[in-house]
Amino acid sequence: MSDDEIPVKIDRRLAALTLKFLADCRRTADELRNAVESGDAETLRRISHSLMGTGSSYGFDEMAALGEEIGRAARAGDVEALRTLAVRFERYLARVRLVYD
Amino acid sequence: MQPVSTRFLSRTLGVLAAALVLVGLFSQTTLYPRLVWWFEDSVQRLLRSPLPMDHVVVVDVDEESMQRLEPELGAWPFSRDVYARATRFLAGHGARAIAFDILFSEPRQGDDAFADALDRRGVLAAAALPYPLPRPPAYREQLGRAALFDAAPGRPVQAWSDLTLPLPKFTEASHARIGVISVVADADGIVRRLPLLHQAYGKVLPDLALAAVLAAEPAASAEVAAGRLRLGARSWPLNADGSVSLRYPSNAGALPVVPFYQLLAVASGAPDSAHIGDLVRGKIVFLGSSSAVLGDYAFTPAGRLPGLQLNALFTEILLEGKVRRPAVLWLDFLLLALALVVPIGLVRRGAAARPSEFLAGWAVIVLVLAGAGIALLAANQDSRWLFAALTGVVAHAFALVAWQFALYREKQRLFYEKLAAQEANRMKTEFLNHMTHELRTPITAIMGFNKVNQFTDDLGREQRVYNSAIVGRNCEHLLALVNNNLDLARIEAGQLAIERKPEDVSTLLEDLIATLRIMAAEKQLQLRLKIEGQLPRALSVDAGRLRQVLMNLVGNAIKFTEQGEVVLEARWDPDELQLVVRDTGVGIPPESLARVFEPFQRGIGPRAAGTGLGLAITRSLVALMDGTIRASSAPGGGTAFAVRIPAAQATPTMPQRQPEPQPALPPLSGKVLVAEDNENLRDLIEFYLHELGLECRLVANGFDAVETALSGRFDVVFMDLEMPVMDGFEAIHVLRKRDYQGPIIALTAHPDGLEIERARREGCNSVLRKPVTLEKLRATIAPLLGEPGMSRAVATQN
Repeated sequence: MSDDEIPVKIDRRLAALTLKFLADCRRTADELRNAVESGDAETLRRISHSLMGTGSSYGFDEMAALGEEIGRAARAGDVEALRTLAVRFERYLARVRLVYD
Repeated sequence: MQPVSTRFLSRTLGVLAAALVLVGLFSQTTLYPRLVWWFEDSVQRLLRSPLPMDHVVVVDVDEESMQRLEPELGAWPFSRDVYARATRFLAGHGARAIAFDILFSEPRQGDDAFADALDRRGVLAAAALPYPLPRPPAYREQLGRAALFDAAPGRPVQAWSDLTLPLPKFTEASHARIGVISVVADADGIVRRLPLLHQAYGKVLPDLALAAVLAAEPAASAEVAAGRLRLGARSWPLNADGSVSLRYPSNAGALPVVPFYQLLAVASGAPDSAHIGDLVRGKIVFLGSSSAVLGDYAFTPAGRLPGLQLNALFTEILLEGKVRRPAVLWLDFLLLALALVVPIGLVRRGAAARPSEFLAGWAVIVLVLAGAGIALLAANQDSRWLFAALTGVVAHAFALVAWQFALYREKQRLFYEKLAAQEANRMKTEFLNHMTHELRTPITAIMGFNKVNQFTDDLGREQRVYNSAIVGRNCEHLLALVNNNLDLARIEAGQLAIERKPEDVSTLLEDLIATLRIMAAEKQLQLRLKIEGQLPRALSVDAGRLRQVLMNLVGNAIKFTEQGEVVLEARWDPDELQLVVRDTGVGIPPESLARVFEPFQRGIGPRAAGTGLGLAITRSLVALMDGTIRASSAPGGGTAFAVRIPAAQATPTMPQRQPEPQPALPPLSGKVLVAEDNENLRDLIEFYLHELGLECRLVANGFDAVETALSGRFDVVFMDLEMPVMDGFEAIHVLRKRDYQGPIIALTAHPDGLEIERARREGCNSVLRKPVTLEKLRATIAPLLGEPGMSRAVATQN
């Protein structure tokens, strides 16, 4: 693993679901960009929730933290922060590597 | 047992000493010997038997003889040739010895004829004098020749100042013996003993009776050895004063008596129609006078007897061996011991003895000792039985006195014990009253609120839940009361055992502090652990009970402190663990402080929380652990509880702590409805639920959730709070409104408590905070499914 990568431990039996989840997360990343640009507060809120709840449930703690930050920034109306967070989210998804146990 | 036995010993010795002193003093009085004699004479009378009387014959110069012979011989005293005639006759007819119970100490007519007639078979009388007379040397010579042996120190003899001897001419040529006719009477004037050996001027002479025996058996020589007088084959036990104790026969009057005038007649040639000659053949003849005017007499247990008859009787008694052995010391000790068995036994029994035992004991002593005395006398053995009997009886009386003292002490003790028992009873009643009151309070609340829930129709779910919560809290309080009561009862019944095992006390204290930190944090109090120096790796303590005590003390400190801090200090002195729980609370006033450890002493003020038994149990536990606990406080100055427990250093057991093995969790079974809009999460939850063994149905919004829940039969419903169309809150609300009774678990990602509060208010049973994990799912579902054995998992979940 290179320094860039983020290892996440997951249960082998959850492999299929987790991969499906990650695939859905890339779509969510696009949705997030659009929502930030369009100022869609409702979507932002939903994404924030989803990242916090589902992300953490699948074991992606950083994703949950991101979700929380997105939620706060959305409530504050901080567009700049939101843009940064969207980038961070995409980069996170790129660097994630699954480690099976 | 030590104090009891020394007390018993001192009591016994006291009784014995007192009895011996008293009876010893009494035995020196004149009454004592009289009692002895009375008893001995009575027993003798009871046991006496007749003697054959075939050893002796008495020739009596009685009144009638004197009358008949007066014309021929004149008045008494007769001239001594009369005796010469008598002597020749008796000797000629085979008399073995002829003893004259007449004192021939003055010269008289016919002496020479008499001296001629005498020979070795003759025995002449000597009499003792209480004062010495001037004696010529010829006297000493005669005395020397007549003596058995010289006086020697330690020889049992009867000592006299002087003896009147018969005229020397009678004994010189004839070698006739001299015998002393003096007897010694007891203080009551009765002759019970016969002195056999008389001593005067350094020489020892025999008694007349003994001399007669010596004359009859000339071959034998007399010697004294080992307290006995031996004469050939015969021996008699001597008392210390040279006398023998006599056993008188029942037929003392049956001595064969020949009147002197008859003898003289036959001696002078008259026909022997009375066969006097045959009568005296082979016998020892005593010649003298029984006349009251001329002869002496003595009182004996067999009655008043003239001296003449008495001497003959003495000889008969000696020859028949009817004498008693003197008292033997070891026998007397045995009797004493026998007599003291009962009194000592009663002293030993102390207060437990009963009056009937004393009566019986007294009778036993008297009967046993009297019986022993009689038996010994029948066996010719003297004994100091009376001394023993009296000692026994007096000791018995003192034992009675000691018993009275013991009873008095017992009475005192019982009195105080009764007082103590009454006090204990009163305290028990008080405790019971308190406890009843304490139990009633929560029960009343439970019954009240439950009734409201049960019978009020349109109460509203919120109110119902609120009431139930109150019922629940009171149930917990009730349970705590019952458990505490049980603990106290077990401690009092001694059923609580302290098990000491090597424990790492530092870790125990840290765990305790960690557990209670939340409680302290809620009140914004500081909770600190301060260990002075270092505690040994392992100490021998009962961890569970120690924890119980500290939980109570620290818990109380937290409960009753509003601001500041609570500190638990620990220190180890060799073999003693010292703990102090300090708080900065309101303090306890001095009046309450004195009673702070008693049950239900809650004092005044806002300190009414808890069961009121905690400190009482704590104190009992500390006492059971052989420790001490002290409370110190001042109003407004905080409180400190100091506990000291003996705790020896112990070797720690390896391994230090065993991790609790996780038992295999059994699968659950049931049908679960999951309402979650996020597809990924739905999949995950479905996967986990299948892992747990549950069936599940998935919906994506609140509306579908309500419809499905109402139409299906689900054991549990999972409701995500954030959903489109109808969110979780609404869905729950609607379900409850529509009387859906089943358990609902809310799912939320929100960290704050407001959402959770709201969800609860809407009517969900519990809340699961995301992230969702297998363990969390199991923990929340299992209790709602009613699975037993899941409580452990629930507890660790927290």
